[in-house]
This record gives sequence, structure tokens and C-alpha cells, in this order.
Amino acid sequence: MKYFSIFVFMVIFFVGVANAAPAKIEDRAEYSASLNSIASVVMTWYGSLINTTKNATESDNQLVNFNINNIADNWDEYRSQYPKNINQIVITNTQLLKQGSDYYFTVNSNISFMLENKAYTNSFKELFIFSNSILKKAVNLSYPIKNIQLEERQEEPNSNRTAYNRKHYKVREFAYAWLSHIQGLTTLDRVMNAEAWIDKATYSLEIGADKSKGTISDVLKKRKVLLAKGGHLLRSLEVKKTASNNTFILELILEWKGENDEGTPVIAKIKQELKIHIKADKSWEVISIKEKHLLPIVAPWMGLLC
Amino acid sequence: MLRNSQRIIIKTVLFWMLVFSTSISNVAFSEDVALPIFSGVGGNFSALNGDGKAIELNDYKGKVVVLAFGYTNCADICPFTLGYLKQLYNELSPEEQKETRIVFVTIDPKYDTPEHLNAFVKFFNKDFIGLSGTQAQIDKIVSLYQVEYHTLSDNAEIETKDIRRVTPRKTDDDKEKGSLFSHTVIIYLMDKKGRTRSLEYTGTPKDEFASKIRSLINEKTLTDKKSDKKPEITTEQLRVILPPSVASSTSAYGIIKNIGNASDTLINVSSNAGMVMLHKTDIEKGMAQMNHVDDFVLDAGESLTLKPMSYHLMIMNVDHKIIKKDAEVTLVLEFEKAGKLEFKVPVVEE
Repeated sequence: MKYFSIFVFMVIFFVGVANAAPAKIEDRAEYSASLNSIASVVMTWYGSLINTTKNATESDNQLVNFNINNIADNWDEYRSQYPKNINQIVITNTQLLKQGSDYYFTVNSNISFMLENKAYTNSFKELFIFSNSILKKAVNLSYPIKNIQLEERQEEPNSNRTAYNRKHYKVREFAYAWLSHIQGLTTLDRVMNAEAWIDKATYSLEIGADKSKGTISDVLKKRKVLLAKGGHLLRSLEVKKTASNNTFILELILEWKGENDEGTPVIAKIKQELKIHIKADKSWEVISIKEKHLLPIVAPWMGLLC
Repeated sequence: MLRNSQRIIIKTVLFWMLVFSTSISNVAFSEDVALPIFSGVGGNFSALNGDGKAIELNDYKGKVVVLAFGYTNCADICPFTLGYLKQLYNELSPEEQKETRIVFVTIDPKYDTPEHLNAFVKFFNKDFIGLSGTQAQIDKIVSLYQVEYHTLSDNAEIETKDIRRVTPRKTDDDKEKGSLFSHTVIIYLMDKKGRTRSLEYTGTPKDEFASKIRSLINEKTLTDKKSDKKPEITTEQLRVILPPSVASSTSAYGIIKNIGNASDTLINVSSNAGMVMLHKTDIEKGMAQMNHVDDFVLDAGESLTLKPMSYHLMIMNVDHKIIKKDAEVTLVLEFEKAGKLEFKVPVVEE
């Protein structure tokens, strides 16, 4: 298959990392916007494949609700190719290409499942083709996906990494949608149930000596002066428990490269802590965001002390 | 437990390994043409200078600042760093040195008094600035620059006479004690606005570091860049039409050009020969109608052609002593940016 590609990048989803990103600011902005949007949808896709009722050991799964109402209408036949009773999916590699106005997102995964009380793992290689409408219109799960192709399926030795459960995918679905939002896109707001909290949550921002606090939209405007043009890439994600069972802290480390409003290059290592409450209907509500810009490690000697 | 001398040897060996092993990545990073702003690294702070006077980082605005951290009881890395900074400073021309400040902030304000720190840094170069302060002030600076440091010897102090030092502090106490620290080796390079633009260390080739300092000295701000763009107004064939002796008004025609790289606006026209206005003739319902034009935007590279039945300069209440055959009239075109421009314009017969 020959693609005329504007950019080709390898993405590893274990840690939510894009290894390489374009140097040109405009390409980088499009790359991060498309990657974050596509990643959120793909997280929904894989998370929704994992069987909850057959996996009783994963109590966290009970807190997870994927909105997949439209999947059956469009992709029921394709989804029937997956094994039943999937208990974990490990994404091992991804690749994003752009062809014309479409994005080609290849995902390699190891899917583990139970069959007649015996555990199996199959490796899958799938190609998701997305329309660029993902950057323009509000997203529901089905429509931005133009096509899905199963390119390979092989049997693998069974693995037993239970962390890659529905919650694993739910937090990433949310995190990537949030990155799209702070990039200025509102196309995935519905995925985050943003309507319920986007105007209520408090946002504290600390950039060196400059500190500000306000609503999300107010703080994003202030932030835009320094981080005017460029893109966020997720570098790490951690879920931290709080004293309350239905509240947790989502800690994100982001990399930002771009320009400020004067066109001067800017790099940032951003730590965000999102305090999230899970409501009775399993929808998520962000209560507060704390953001601090950390010292980026740009050379191996930087962490050493003498 | 390692003895202090062993620690120092290990630190020195590690440091040199570091210097030699990381040069490749450093070169790669330095290939960036424009130095990026490191978001969230640094900011304004207050401290005490060598005279014990309160200063702020903002006092150095307009200068490029090279900022390092350490302490005077440091036997190895700090003297080495300041020696490196001395050589770096010497790479700069006297004019570049005037635009640069080398600042050394102590992480041990308890021991490093402003006076002692001043003697320490001045040992390397008289222009170097040592900054001390209260523990709270130093904590603030350390926090802003995200400096990492730790005390050695489990907070136990050692007798300073056992430390190999460049400038021992003046004291009559031969049992004087001080602490040892491990600390960051990062040297912060800040632009004229006080923003961190590069993170370096003593492994950076001095000519490379000096070239980064130069690039920041010569860097233009957006305001500077804007000020580079200027309109430039010229005229072609500008002429005043000789009016009949009984007429009280006449016109001036020609071309007004903006050959600069920024737009400008013609806001007023005056003359020694009468009252002048920019008019435009429009045809409405088959009738020519003259309309006054308050101002006219002349974009970069654009022209305003003054001609009959179009834009023209209308001169009213003409002074026939000035507007006469073969005479020259003074026309002043006033632009928003270019200001008042005076042109000597010939009077010609139609």
C-alpha cells in the first residue's frame, strides 16, 4: 500500500507517548490535535470491547461507562470478528499517517480472552481510517471512523497483565479528549461530559512566578499568550486515589512545543492534576485542575548533582 | 560512610565523566536556530547583592543574564564553574560584556554572607555578581528555577579549615564550621526580558555558549521587529494646475506612493498657497459630485493617483501671488506614521 504521507509517527500507548513529532509548528499543531482526538476515540473503541461481567476481579470496571450507542449501527459486523469475553487489551504499537485529508491510524494490540475456561491471547493489527472532520465537528464514536481493516491476526502466548482493563482505557479516553480541549478543540467535549463541569471547575495555573486561577476558559486564554501555537503530547498518566472512593486525581505530564504570541519558540513540561468525581450515573465531573510548568529535561546531564 | 575527601573525588570523577559523555546530546540541542523559552523556569526574585543591598532580577532587564547556583565552601564544581564562566565572559567583546551579567546565587545563605560571596565571585572576575539573601529569598529563587540541591553529611557541619577553598571567609574562629552540598550543575541563560532561553553546563563549548549569549543580545523583540517596518512616502509628477486669475480654487495632481514595508494613512494636507483638502469626484445619477475624504490608507507598495474625475487635492482660497506660472508651491502631506512631509510642487498650465 502506498501512502503519500505528510507525516509518519510512531506512538506508544503504554505511557501515552508520541516518540517523534514534526518540527514545523503548523504540522506539529495538526499532528498533536489529530493524534489526541483519534487516540480518544480509539481508547473508547478498545475499552468498550473489554467484557465487564466476565471479569469480576476488576472492581474498577464497575466505575466505567463507555458511550458506544452508535457503534452497533455502523460497526457491529466488524466488531463480531473480535473474540468473546475479552478481559484485557494491550496496545503494543501505533502509527499515524496522513493521506490527503484522512488520517490512517494503525494499531497493534494483544487481546486476551477466555474461551471454555481457558485463557488465550491473539495479536491484532488494525487500520482505522479517520476523516479530518474529527478536528471540526463534535464527535460521537462512529462517524469520524471512515473505515476499519483487520490486517493481521495471530495466536500469541497468553499474557496476564490485568492493568489493561476498562478503566485503563476510560482514563485515556478522557485524557486525550482533555488534551484536545486545551488545544482549542471542542469536538470531544461530549466524550468528557464537559457540559456538566466545564464552566464550574476551577483551574489554577503556575508558570514560574506567574500564578493565576479562574474558570477553564479564562485560564486557557491567559495560557494562550505563552502557548500560542503548537501542541500537547501526553508523556505520562497516573491515577491517584483520594480518601473518597468516587473521587480520584488524574496526574498528567505533558510536553508542549510551539511558539508564543510573538512567534518565539517555547517548550514546556506541564504537570496537570485533575481532581475528578465519578457521579452516580458513572459520568465524570472535573472539580479542579492544577497546572504547573516543570523544568524540562533536555539533556542527560540535567538531573545530575555535583 | 564515605569520608568527605572520598565524596569530593567521586563527585569530581563523575562530573568529568558527565562532561565528556554528554557532549553529543548537547551539540544536538544547540543546533536549534532560535533559542526557546523554557516555560515556567525562572521569574523575578529579590536578593542581596555584594554590598548587602536589595536587588531584583528585574533590575537586570535589558541585559542577558547567565545564572549559576553554588556555594563558597564548594571545593570542586563551583570554582570550576566560575572558572568556566570567567573564560566564557572573556570570549565576549567589551561591548557584549556590557550587555551581559554573570550572576552566581548561593544555596548556602547561612554561611555565604553578601560580603563573603562577593569576594568569592570577584576572585574570578570583578564584574561577576554574587547574590545571597535570607533563607526565604533563596528558597524562592531555588523554587522558581527548580534547582535541586541536598546537604551532604546528614546535615552535620564540618570544620571549614578542612575544605579546600578559593577564598576562605574572614574569621577568628579556627573551629568555624560549614555545610557541604550537592547541587545542580545547570547554568541558566536568560534573555533581556528575564526569560530562561537555554540550559547549559560547563560541558558546553565556550564558543557555542558565547554565540548563544550574542544571539540574545542581538535578539529583537516584537516591538523592535515592528519598528523595522516603516512606510516610505514618495511622489511622482506632483503638480499644481495654474488656475485662471479670477478663480479661487484649483487642483493638484500626481501620484503619492508608499514604497516602504508598512502601511500609512494620509491624515492631512496643507499648503502655503491656500487651504487644501483631499477630494474625490464620484458620479452619482449621472452627476459628478465632489466628496471630501478625511483620510486615506496607503498600504505598503500601494499608490494614490491624483487625477481629474477621481482623487485630487483641492486647493481653495488660492493665493495668486504664490500660485503663478513657473512658480513652486509647498505642499505638506501629513501621514499618521511618516509625519509631515514637505514637497516643492511646480505650478503648471493644464
